[in-house]
Amino acid sequence: MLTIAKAGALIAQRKLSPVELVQSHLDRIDRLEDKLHAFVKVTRESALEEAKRVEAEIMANGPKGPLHGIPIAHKDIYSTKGVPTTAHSKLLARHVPDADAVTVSRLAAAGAVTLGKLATHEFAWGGPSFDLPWPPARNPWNPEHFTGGSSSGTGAAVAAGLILGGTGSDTGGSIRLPAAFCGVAGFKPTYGLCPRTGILPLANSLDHAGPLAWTVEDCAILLHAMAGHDASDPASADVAIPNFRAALSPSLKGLRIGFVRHFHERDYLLDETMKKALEVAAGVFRGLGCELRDVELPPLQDWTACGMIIMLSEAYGVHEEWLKSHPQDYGEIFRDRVLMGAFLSAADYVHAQRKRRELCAALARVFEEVDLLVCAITPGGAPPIEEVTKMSSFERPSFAFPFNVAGAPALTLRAGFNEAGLPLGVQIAGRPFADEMVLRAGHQYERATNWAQMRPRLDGLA
Amino acid sequence: MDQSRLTLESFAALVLRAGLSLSPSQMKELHEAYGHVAAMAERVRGTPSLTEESAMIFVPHSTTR
Repeated sequence: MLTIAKAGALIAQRKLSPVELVQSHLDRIDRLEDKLHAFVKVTRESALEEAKRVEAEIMANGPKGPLHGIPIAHKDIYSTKGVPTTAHSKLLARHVPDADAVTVSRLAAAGAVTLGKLATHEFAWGGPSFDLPWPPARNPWNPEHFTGGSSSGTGAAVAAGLILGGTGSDTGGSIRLPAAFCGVAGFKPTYGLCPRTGILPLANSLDHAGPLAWTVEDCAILLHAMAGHDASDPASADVAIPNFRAALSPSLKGLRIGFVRHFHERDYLLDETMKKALEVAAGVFRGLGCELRDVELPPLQDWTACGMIIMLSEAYGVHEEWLKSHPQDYGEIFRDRVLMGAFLSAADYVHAQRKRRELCAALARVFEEVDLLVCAITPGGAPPIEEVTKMSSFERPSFAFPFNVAGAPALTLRAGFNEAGLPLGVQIAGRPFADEMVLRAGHQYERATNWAQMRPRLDGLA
Repeated sequence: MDQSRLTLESFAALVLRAGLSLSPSQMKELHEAYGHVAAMAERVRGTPSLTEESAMIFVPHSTTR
């Protein structure tokens, strides 16, 4: 199975035709999509036209980079000019943007070929929902199990090999959770590194744009195209963008890693298989020459409460008018979750922002002693999709929220499989703008394990 | 988390104040979930100094450039 890095190298050597590559992925979508529901819309004709155009460019001038001719797709909250951008919602079923999101334009400028728009939980939070115009995406490792969300279609499509990479967004784990449950790599960069211009918001001060792909190296390639200052996003960071891919190689020897053991041993207990997988992951980092030590952060419950109050307040602010005028047009899950924001006060929001500052300071103190953190991302493998409840987000703490609250870069990648053959994930996080270091650690970890060699068996689906 | 902080009647007053119209079953479900959200709001509530405010600030250069 190809990765972006391998396909890019083959295209550069003229051993792989972008037209054939795109066609083969469209064929694969034809075979598997009716079981996986990863796409809201497949843009077949424009993809093939684009593939022919980039192939001609490459034949004439050579590839302009590793994404030239690579089939990708976008979470359906990323605006795409002339192509519906629905947020997987009846409310926006006929919404056709007149401009691309900045990140969509940048990936296109890098030569990536868009195959379509990917399923999401409604407005990046409401799912898995069965009362929307499109069904929820299914997990390629077992379609009866949850993909995680909200970048559910991206996780499923990458895992099934329908695309080589794609875009996601992460307000409280929406890149990292589907990465964990679908067994792919998902990277939430530092807040502001990738502009959100043209991406439909969930909660502006927590929303991050980022990539999902099969490998960390592929995430680095996608991130390199997506990142960079954009003045039209007030949160966009005006910082130099390094070559993330080139930064993957140096050894991890001597790196100080903090293992946030209390997240899963005290704050929210993992299942035993997941717990063992985390210990094995910690051992891999030791084997790579890292110095591991346990570190103490504020409890997960503090991070979750802070993130949730901010997310509910901001999301309700975005949706209040429609929730009152068109409540019947939302899916039940998103509508009832976001309605909880109606019952919070302005003082609640102010207190949450103050708490956020305290939590960020606590994280910064820990990062004076260590370079990276390793911790859990989910309590176990993907649960059956029918067991995911509407209000589950409020009932238990989140391993993902700390790094949304802090705006810190965080990567999820494979840490093994459970007894049911479903992927397990591990999370690596760094201090804000240490994105290169997080990706480097993930890449070296990935190379030291064989998890990336294992793909879902899809023969029973087609 | 303590889900009994607010009676259903008091929660109905919050719903009214928010200008929402909920079905009886929705009212019941949201009331149950409200206990979790209220506990989270309580958790982030501190006792801030009146003279040291580090979070809710306004940075004028970001709007005038």
